[in-house]
Amino acid sequence: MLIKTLKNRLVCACLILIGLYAVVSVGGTIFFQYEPNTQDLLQANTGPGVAHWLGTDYLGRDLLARIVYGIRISLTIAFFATLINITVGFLVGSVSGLLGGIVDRLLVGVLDIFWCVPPFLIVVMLTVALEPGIKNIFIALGLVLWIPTARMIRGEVRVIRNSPFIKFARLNGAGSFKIMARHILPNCIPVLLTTAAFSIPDAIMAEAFLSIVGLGVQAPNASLGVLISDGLQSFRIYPWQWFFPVLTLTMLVLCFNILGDALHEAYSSKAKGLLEHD
Amino acid sequence: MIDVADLSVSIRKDKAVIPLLKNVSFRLGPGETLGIIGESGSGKSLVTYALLGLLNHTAGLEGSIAVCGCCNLLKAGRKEISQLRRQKIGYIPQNPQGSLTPTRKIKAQMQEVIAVKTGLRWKEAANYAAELLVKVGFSEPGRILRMFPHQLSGGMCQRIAVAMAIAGKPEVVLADEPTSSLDLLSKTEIMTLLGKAQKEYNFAMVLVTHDLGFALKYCNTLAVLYSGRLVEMGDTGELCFYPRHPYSKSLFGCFFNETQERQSALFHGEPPVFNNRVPGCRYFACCRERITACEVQEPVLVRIGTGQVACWLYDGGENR
Repeated sequence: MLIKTLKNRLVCACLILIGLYAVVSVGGTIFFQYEPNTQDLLQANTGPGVAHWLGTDYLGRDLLARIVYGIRISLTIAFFATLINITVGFLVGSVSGLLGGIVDRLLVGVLDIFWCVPPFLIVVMLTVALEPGIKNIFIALGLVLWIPTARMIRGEVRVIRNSPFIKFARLNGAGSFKIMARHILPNCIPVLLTTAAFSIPDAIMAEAFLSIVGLGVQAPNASLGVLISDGLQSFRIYPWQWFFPVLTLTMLVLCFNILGDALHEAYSSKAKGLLEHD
Repeated sequence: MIDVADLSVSIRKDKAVIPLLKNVSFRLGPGETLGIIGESGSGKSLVTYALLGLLNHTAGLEGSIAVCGCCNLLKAGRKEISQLRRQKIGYIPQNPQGSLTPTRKIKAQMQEVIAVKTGLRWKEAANYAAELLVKVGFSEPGRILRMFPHQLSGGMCQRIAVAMAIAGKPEVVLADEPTSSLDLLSKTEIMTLLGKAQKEYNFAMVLVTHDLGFALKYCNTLAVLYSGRLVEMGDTGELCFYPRHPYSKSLFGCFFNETQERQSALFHGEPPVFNNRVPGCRYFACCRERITACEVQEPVLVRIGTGQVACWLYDGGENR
């Protein structure tokens, strides 16, 4: 089913684009002659041209170099935030679903309390408390994003726990640990993958939002959010300073969303296939 | 091999005790097969669950079950029960496709079961798995081992379940409607396989089924359950041709397609719900041969000939 998904042209294009973004942002300065933070005031606010492909900003920094650098920071934040998200979410969700009883009730209580507070409020509070900076942004994001993941994994574990194949495995003499490791948790991985694929664009958007309101990555570092926020100030006179970062962000988020959708579709149609078989 | 005495199962709900199964007793030796028949919800599967020790912590249990040397399964600890399941009991499930883990290949699943049941190493277990698959009628075991459950048909999955059940050379096999979700050919295949395996390993088998044809062909003894009560038990040949209890009569009457009159009796009513306390016989509302005693007091099992029947018509061992 996964192979069939990969054969889909749109998904393929998204994967290639994401790969390209990743390679270019990691390679960064190898590909381009300009440093993202080098100022050249004589060249300030030049439009797209031969020397600066995408133009320069108000301090004469090359916009292309800054966007590439911004993608690197945005992707790093998204990656680590998602890593924290799925690790914590998976652990809490599976412990809660597997153990049940008082542990489950306690954890669900904590989840419900967090669920009631707007997530961005927590992120903003955390970034203020931890001081703005790359590391603290992904910590704050990771700590908020895991809540829906944990709920989803918990539900999945509870459904799987009561399914006939678990009963059959138990009746064939498998111990609790083996049942958990070999029968329950592997069946949660599709849900986890889909969640991760949707969590990356969420994290990118959240980082952009934080940077736009001034709580994100601090100058002179550039993330896509910082670039959009800078471009916004001279948006009417030098529209390219705003347009290119927004285009990049949109493409990136769109690619991850299409990928997440495709994964979701692949696994849900697999599940549907199983049901039809019954 | 299996000795069940006065097994009763009940659950508690809102402080009231609801009996689900009452006073079921039977005895089964090596190589023998007991068929449990009755309509859906009559408690057939509950008997197998009790025999597997699944109800020990969830329901109120009375009586005693002795299986393969374990003198009372109902009082056994978790360890003893899981030891028993690993070494002595094979279980064949109702829904073969749902009973195999969808994300793992057949090979890994069989290896795991074999390793647990026989103590073989992982690699040896793979060879033994292929051997078992040949035994249950697959001509290309290597190909099947590489497949996922959803790539196999229901009949194939059930054959794999049979292979898993006989992997540990069990002394007892519990088959909980093994043919209910299969087509006719697969049904016959599975039952033939089970019959063959029984001859080879000489295990005692409890066969819960709706399929009276297979019950007649493969069982030495039949037990008829109705609404959680054992209403009749006896030698298969005698019970099917000379049923005594009115419920057994209509069941077999329907099976042998007897007169219209008898068939219409079948749809006379529904069994009482479990939490509805009925003072008399639970078949009273549907029974065509009821007498006044039936409404007042519940009949007890009495021995008649080689069998037993719980019906006031046969009180005192003679037909009134």
